[in-house]
Amino acid sequence: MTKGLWLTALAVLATAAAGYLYIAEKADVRVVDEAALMTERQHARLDDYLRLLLRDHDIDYRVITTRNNEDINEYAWRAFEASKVGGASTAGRGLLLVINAEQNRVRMEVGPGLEGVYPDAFVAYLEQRQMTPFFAAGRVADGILATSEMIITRAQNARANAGFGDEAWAAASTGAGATAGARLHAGRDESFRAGPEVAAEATPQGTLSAYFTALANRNGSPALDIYTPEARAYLAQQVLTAAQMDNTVRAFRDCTAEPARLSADGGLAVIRYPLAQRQCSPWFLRRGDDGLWRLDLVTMAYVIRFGRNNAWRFYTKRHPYHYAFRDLAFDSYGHPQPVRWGVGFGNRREGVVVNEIDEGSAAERLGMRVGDVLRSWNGEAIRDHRHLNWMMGRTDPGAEITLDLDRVGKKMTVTGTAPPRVE
Amino acid sequence: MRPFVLITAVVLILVGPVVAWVVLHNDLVDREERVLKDWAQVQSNFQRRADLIPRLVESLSRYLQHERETLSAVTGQRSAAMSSLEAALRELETARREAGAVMENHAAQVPATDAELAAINAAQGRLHSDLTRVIALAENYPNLQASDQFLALQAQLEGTENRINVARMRFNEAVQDYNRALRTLPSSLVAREEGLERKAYFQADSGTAQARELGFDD
Repeated sequence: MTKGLWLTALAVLATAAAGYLYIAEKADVRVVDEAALMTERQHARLDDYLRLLLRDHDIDYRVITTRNNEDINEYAWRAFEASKVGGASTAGRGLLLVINAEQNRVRMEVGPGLEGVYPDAFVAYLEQRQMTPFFAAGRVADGILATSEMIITRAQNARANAGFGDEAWAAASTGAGATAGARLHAGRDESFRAGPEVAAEATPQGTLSAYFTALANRNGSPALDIYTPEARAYLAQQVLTAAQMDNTVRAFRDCTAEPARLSADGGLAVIRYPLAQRQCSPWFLRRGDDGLWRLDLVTMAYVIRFGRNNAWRFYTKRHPYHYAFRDLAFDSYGHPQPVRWGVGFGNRREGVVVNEIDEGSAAERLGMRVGDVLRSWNGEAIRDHRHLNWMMGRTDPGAEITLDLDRVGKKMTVTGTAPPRVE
Repeated sequence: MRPFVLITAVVLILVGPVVAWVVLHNDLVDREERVLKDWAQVQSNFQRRADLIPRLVESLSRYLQHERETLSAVTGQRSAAMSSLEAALRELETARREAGAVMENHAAQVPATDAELAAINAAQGRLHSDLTRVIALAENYPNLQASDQFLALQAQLEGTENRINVARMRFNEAVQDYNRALRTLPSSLVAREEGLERKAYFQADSGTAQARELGFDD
């Protein structure tokens, strides 16, 4: 054999080895983007996300992108061993995603501790029904992130049902996982994006259930009548995968919807779920000129965010549908909280003054009004707003309350009973 | 003092080789155990593949039946494609039965000779290429590709192929490790005395090369 050939072979081997050595040396590195498929920002975001995945779910998930010409199945298996994927997890739970940009293939290698939770068929479903549609649209990092959510959901379910197998501590992979065509930059995936028309209904509930039926049939067409015109334009730009449709249907199957809350002019509707069902996010609907209700997915996409554990929160309170959430308080992250008293007050020179009162709240029933200067609670003089907060907090549900206050310079006393505690 | 040293020396001379023998023997046993364990892994993956094939055959046959009934108007090419898939399915069934018969003869033991292993390899290799052919032909039916049931079945089959490949690599490593111990001093002395023989391993021709060409969804 000639010298040149040997050198080439050596160079190929060295390049192949470099990827895993890099990861092996720095157990802290979660993403190695050799093929340069991500921007620096996407890379950092994915890296953070995978770190949280390890911290919160004890899953050691790493990503390698490459352009080498080694068979992707063998490469994944060897990289898994060489990098000791699963070693950072206390239970040896390892996942390795390899994307080969040159071969346009993707493989997720599943460690022995996770084989029961992520069987090959599930991994193939993840890859083909969720991840690669994003890849086709050129959004590699998004595709990986969108898949991670499904990985987390399944991990949570497995934990609830004790489905994890922990016997194989950081063992080498047995070759579990699945490989698929990566369809990188193949152009938008048009499968599941066509379907029969679904008509808007005369009630908000009717339109919402028509929507769920459409998703259950994997009708991902953006042009359906159940969407507002803006939502149709928005959906046409979005990647909507079969797995996302399946997930939405599954997520809302066990949600118990409350009656629709209409706005004062009757043009908007919100369908909410009990606050205890934190994964069941509200739906916004708008009535068209024809009197039919359509889903306002654009406002929803702008306003509603999902935190860890898929619990919903508001990005902002400034939106036309906020009328339906006046009975809830939102913390600084936008997480909804149930409200016990429904009153806001602050310290002023003249004393503790009521700033706002929620409609239909316990404070309103008790007889408080905005501008009242609160003097004493059950005979005890109020020193400042913290003192009042403390006294209100320790008042037992159903207890009699006597509140002395000044209203427009006139002394008054209001009485009532304390509302039940929340949470 | 002196008798004590003498006794110790004699004991060491007598016991030392025995201890060394025991250590070397146990080491060989450990290596052989690994070979047995890895072979069991190879076998169970072969079995897993054999168990999945009837499901594939059944699901494709049912689909073809359905196709024939609904698309009877479209003839010519379509029916030619269908009959080639049907023929491939029949061959796959035959290959499965033959591979099963070969495995029966080697129930639960590591193949002793290269010839035995080559026979297993040939039967499994044929099964592999028939399977690849069936899947490749099934790719001509977009309805099948859109079905989650078929996706799941295909993923399980592909997963099994990959597991077989990994198990073979592991088995080969274990055998090579064992064979090396048989040939190197000092364990070779123990091995020769106990009549241990080298074990056969998979030749490279069908293992890695096949896995590479197995691309169901390119």
